Amino acid sequence: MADLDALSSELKDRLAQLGQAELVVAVPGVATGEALRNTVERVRSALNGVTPGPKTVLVHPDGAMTDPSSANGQPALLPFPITPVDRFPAPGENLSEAYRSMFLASSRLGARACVVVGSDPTTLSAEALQRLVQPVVEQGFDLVTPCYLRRRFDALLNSGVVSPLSRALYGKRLRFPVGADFGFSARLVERELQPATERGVMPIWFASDAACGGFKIAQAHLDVPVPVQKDPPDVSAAVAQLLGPLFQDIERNAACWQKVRGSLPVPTFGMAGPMAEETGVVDVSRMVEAFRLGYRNLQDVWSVVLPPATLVELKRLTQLAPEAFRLADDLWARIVYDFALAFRLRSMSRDHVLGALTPLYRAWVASYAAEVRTAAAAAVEQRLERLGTAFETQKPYFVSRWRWPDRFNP
Amino acid sequence: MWEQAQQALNQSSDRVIAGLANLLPGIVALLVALALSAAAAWVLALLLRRFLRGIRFDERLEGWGLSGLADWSPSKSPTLLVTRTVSWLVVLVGFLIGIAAFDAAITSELAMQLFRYLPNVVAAVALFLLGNVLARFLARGVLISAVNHNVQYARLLSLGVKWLVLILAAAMALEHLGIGGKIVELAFGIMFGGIVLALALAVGLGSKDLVSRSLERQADKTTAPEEAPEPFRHV
Repeated sequence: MADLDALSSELKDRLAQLGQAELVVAVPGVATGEALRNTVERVRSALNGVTPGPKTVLVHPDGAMTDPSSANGQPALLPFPITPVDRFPAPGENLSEAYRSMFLASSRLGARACVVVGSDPTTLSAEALQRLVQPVVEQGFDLVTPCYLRRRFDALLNSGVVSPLSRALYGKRLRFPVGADFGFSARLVERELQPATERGVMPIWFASDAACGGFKIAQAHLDVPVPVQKDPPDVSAAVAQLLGPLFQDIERNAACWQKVRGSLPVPTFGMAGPMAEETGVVDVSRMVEAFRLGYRNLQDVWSVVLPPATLVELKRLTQLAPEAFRLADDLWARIVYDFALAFRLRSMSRDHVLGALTPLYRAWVASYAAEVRTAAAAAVEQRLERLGTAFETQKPYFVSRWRWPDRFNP
Repeated sequence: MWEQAQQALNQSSDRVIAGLANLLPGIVALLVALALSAAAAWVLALLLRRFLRGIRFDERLEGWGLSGLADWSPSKSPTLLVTRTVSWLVVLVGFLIGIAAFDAAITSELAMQLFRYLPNVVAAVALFLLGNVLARFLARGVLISAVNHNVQYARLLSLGVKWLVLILAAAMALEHLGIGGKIVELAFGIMFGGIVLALALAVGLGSKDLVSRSLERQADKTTAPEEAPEPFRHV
């Protein structure tokens, strides 16, 4: 049983009163009584399809219960007890602390499964919720990751770096290794409650922990768009926010991913919905110009991280017109690997490493956008599949550099 | 006459020989002090090098964001820089002790003055090195940040920051050395003020059009159609 000292005495008493539960549903984003009522209804509908109906506890932030629009406590409306947990950190704050609170509650209640709904639960259908619960409760999966409705240019850091990199390193083809909605088994909850170092603001580590720990992983289509996060102020902040923890995770799991060869698809629940169209104007020239500006100014910095052959390729790219601008998948994969290594070796300040990657990421976005701006959903999927394969193909390069960084020293 | 001249010559050569004979123990003492200090420096450098390599000093420095120090080090190794600095300091101290062995007031006084001045030299060198590392770190940070914000004169900005910090460090180092006195302070004040004024003028004049365009956009905001946002979402 996990150490419960981190929980307040009030919450510990509440959990003790509740006794045992089979399922914990955590909704950290619910802020009002109305949203809480909606969520309860949806969770109830979702659980109608799960047999046998598990005894469930809903954990939510304190604020939702104190909303004057909700009847005090309203236990009469609910088929299962609900309990507020300590305040959840706001988006962008330390999420690992929020997850720890939810996992502690789940562990204390002895739940078989813990489902975290980080996106707006009122937009999630009962079926979607069911797809997060059922694989864990009925089929023995340890982790269910989300699949969101992906527009071409949504969650680009996930499409361009996180997903293909996780696939190549950990051998699991997950569309969204990082997301807001997950299903966890009791085993994985206990694993995640083990003391760990600071893990940043994005829940990037669940998929890697599960893959390295030999846990069963599945993914579920939730039929909702990628949840709107509190957007970082600019692209470089987004790169730092997502890729910093990712590179740290790679360093932590180095012993694991070096043994993995190839990748396998994971069981997927539900069907992918139609791809929604973007509303904005796709103008890659600004991204290309940002990359050229980076090339003109950051060559000294890049030469610390990248080998000369890559720099030559980048020089060639600067001479291409925006419409013909294409960053080869192999080159992009090697660039990401080189930066992950520079992050590990601390070739310079880690903030500088992530900052210097930003213009190159913009180059990838420009290249990707130029390729898929009018492509159909299937073509976009094929494009991302090719990118994933390229990361796998270049993995030996990364392993070699990781093991013998000096041998490849640029 | 000839005898008197010969006597005077003999006396002066006696004085020279006596002076040389008086100096000889001091020279021997200086050589011994130098030899001993060189041996001590060698042993100390060896021990220090082993210790620093043991604690992976070079990697730790990089971790603390002081990787710029490697560029100033022999063979790109700050460990070597530290050990060589320490060993040369020991040799210098040995030299000063050797000088003090001369039985002459002037050499003793010189040695004492040098001893008193030594901490200032060490502090000045440390200040300048630290300033250099800081300048490179800040310059790189500004360069990367400016590029990521699409600032066209990013390199200029970065160079400005680098030289500002370098000049500040140099002025502080010179002040520690007691060189220049008020002139350095005055020159630094004039130069720093001049740079800030020049930058203010450059930004003010250079961005005149930018500001007016921005104000015009603000004024037309209600009538003009809004520019379509980019569809890219990164997180």
